[in-house]
Amino acid sequence: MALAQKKSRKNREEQKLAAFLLAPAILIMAVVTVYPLLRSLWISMLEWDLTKPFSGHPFIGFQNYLAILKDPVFWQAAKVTAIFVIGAVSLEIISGLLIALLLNKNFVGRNLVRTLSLLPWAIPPVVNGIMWKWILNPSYGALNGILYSLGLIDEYIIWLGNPILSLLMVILADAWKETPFIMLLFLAALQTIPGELYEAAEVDGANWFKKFWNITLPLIKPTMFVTLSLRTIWALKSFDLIYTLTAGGPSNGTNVIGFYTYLKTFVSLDLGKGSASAYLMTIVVMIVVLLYQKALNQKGTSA
Amino acid sequence: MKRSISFTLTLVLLLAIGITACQNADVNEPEVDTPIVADEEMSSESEAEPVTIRALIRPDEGENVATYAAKFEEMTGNKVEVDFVSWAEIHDKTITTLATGGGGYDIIFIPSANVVEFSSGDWFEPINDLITEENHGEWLASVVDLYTVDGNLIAMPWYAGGAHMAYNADILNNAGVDINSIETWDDLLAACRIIKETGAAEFCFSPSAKYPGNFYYNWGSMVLSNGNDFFDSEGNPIFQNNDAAVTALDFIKTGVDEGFFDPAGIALDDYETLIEFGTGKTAFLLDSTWAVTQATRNTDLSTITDSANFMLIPGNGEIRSSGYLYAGGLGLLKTSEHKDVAKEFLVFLTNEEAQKQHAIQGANLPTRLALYEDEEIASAWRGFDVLAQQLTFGKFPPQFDWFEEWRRSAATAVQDVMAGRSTSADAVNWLVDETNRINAQ
Repeated sequence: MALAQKKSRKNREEQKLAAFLLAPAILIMAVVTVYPLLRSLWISMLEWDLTKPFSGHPFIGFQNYLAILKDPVFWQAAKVTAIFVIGAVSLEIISGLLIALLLNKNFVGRNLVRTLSLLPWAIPPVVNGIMWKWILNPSYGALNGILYSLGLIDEYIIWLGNPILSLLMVILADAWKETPFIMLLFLAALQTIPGELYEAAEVDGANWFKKFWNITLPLIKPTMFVTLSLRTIWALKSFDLIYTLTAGGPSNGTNVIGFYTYLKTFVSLDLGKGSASAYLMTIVVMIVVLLYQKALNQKGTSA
Repeated sequence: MKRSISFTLTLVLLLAIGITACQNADVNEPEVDTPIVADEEMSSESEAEPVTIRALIRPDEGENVATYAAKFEEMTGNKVEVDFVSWAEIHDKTITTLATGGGGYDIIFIPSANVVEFSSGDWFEPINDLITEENHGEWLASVVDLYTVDGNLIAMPWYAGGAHMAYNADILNNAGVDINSIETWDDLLAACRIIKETGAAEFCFSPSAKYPGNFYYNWGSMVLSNGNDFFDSEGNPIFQNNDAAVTALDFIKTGVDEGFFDPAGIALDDYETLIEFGTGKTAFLLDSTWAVTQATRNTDLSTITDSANFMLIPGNGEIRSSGYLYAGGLGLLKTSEHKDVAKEFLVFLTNEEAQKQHAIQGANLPTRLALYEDEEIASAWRGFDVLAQQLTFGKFPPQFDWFEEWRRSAATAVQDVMAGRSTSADAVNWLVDETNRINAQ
């Protein structure tokens, strides 16, 4: 009995200590994450226009959400976001995996190449946008210059001159920056695969593709899921690249929901609709996370 | 486990409630009365003690501000600290600063495009005593009127400017085009045809259409100089009621399709079209006062400084010329703790001497009328007379709080036409719907 009481008291003390140690982190999270989240949720249900400070901030329920959902530009932005996310993430996953497979091989200067290949990821997103703006400049951009001098084009191309081509260029610029991160994750996963598995497969006469399909791919699947969900979330909230490279144009062809939210909040100065737009994006992100999580759990259970 | 989750959630909830409760509910609404009284007391105290005033200003006038801030400090002992914000960020930075209590600034730059937005919260102190009935005639009336909101002057007119046209005389000479023969947009198109046929330049003109603000230098000024406008005084769209809007879009589209205008203009901003003109790629440039001036004097941005000259923006035969104007003003914040010193600096920075030096540096046009007769400026600034004349034909854009959002839709309409995604008539109809939607929000 006394032993049980002692144990219970010890448990309580441990819990108190845990709460005490967690308190600073919880406090910081509450101030920088929980409070802004709750506050912006509240703002999304208010009529809050910075250009009308004297009209107050009346509660209007879900009217901001309805207004956003009725805005044709929002749906255009949603379509562009979907294309951008699918395009950029697919390109990044495929190229990241291919580069990781290559860098997992033994060759002279491998460490140097690995380090160099990480450089694009180290560039700040805004700098990346400005850099690509110059690369894609229709009059004196490097891309036109290179393609022209190689004889691949007869005249300079206006890369950011029509909505479809612009979106492709934005995807390319995003992939260039983000692929190294994916490559790094895949490379780490590849290095955990025991070499014996490949040796055994070779003894059984498996070719390169069979080894990749039956050994490599199943063993890096958990990493693939993590990478896929992380990149999808990040791509969904893309803003800085669009802001610096295309400003959402031409013809709203690169206007993603992140940029649309910025326009509503800081150009139209409508904090209510801006917050509603941000929350709609958050809901989409949460759905994606849940889907990935479910897929990952199912995979874990079946394994 | 359940208990620690409940404990954590309770803690988070309490913190959130606590923070909400502690928040100043009126943070977005300036306290109008109390600070003014406090300031009067403070300013009388500050007469003896030197103070530091803070200003939020765009960087283009940085040299001029730095020079006169140093002179002001030398003369009065009061220090001026200036935070420069780039043109791309100044709108967002300023509105958030204003809405959150002024950020400790005394003076804030107000661009003409944002007068309604920036004055909507009654954040600026009326400075009617600085421009009175007696000295009103010394100033450009249109700029003073622009900065007068509900009968109160909210900013000292600092500079004026607008859309201007520049041409490359060498290209025109090589093509055999007489600049005096260009008075209408049709004349310009005819000149473009000759320039293309003779191969005198790669392109005749590049309509910058990337950003909403480029509306000043393409469709916007073209519609004005065709004798029409976009809105009535109530903000209702009127551009669908006449053919000027469609004609101007057709003009842009024709120029692009015929190979006269650089199709890359759709992805270029006004700075990039300046670079194109400055490298001799285009024969004409429709751009800001600052940009066209750089083409004639800044060898870092222009290799054709000797052959670049100014002309009036073409009209339609009945209208000689027109184009959108802009201006810059300096407002005094109600939350300023050193209003008297800040006012003194406003007067000092906008006095004739400071504006004269500013004009001689060739940044933007002065707001004091006497300086338009100044020989020193005229001799230092080649083509100053043409720029000044252009101002007399100009017009300020409408002052609605939703104009910024509308400009984005207008830019989309121009881009749609240039990219061939829409006809001019369809683009105009689409913009009418957009205007009504934005206006109704």
